Amino acid sequence: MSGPQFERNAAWPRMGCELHAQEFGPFGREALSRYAAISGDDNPLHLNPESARAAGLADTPVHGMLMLACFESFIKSWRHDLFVARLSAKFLRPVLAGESIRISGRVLRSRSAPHRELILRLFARTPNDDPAILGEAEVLPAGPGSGG
Amino acid sequence: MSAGSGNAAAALKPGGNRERGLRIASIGVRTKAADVAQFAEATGTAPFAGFVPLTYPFCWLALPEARRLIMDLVGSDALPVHESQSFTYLRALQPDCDYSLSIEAFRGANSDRVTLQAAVSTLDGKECLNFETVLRIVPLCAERRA
Repeated sequence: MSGPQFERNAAWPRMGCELHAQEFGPFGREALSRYAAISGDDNPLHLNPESARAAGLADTPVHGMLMLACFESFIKSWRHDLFVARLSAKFLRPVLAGESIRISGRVLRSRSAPHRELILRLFARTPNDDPAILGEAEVLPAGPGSGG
Repeated sequence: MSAGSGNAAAALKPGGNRERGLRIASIGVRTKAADVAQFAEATGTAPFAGFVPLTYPFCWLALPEARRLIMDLVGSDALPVHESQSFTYLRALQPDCDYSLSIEAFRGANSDRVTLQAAVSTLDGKECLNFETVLRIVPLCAERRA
C-alpha cells in the first residue's frame, strides 16, 4: 500500500490526482449474514431472496453500509495519515449478493492554506462497470484526537 | 454495540399535517471495543485497527428504540431501501467510550422517503458527529408476499 510512502514524501496531493482503483468483495451471502449479525441491520431485503424479489430485485442486495465501509479502507490504504471528516454517498443501484465492487477516486479539490484539506470524488462500480455508489469525502491530515 | 436507558421516542411538532416527525432525545451508546473489532473485521477495516470505523455509528440505528422509530415511519408491508448516507465528524470516536445519541426522523405526507438525522456527542456534551440516512420505502407486492 502507498500510505507509508506518501507519509515519507509528505507531498500533499494535487487536484486531479487519481486514487488507484481497488476491488472489494465479492460479498457472498455469508458476508451479508455476518454483517447483518454484527451491525444489527437484519433487513430481510439483504438476507432473504424472497423479500428481495418482493421488492422487485433479482436477488438480495449487498448492504449499502457494508460497501460504504470499504470507502474508508480505500482512502486509508491510499494514505493512512488522513482523517476522514466527512463521507457522503448516494446508492445508485443495487449490488447483488456474490458480486464485487471496484472503487476508484480522484482529488476533486486540494487546499493547503489556511489548512490542508482534500475533497475526494469516489465511485464504486459493479462488475459490469455500472456506477453503484457515488461518494464524496472531505479529508484532513490526521492529528491528535482525530483518530487517524 | 450497547445502549443504556434512553428517552422514549416523542412526536415532533407537525409542520401543519404535511410531515410526520419522531424524535429520540437521547440514547446512551457505547463503542465497546469487542463490538468495534468485530465490526471492523466484518467490514474489512480491521487493518486500520485502534480506532472506531467511521460507519460504525450506523449500527446504533438497530437499537430497539431507533428501530421502533424507523419502523413506525416505514410502516408494515414495506421495506426500507438505503438511498443515501452521510457522516460528518467533528472529532473521532474512541473505543470503549460512552456517548449520547439523538435521532430525529421525518416522513413527508405522501412521501416514499424517511430521513433520519442523528447526532452523537460525548456525555459532557461535546459534539462528535452528525449523520443523515435517507431510506426509500418500497411497498412489498401483495402477490409476491404471499
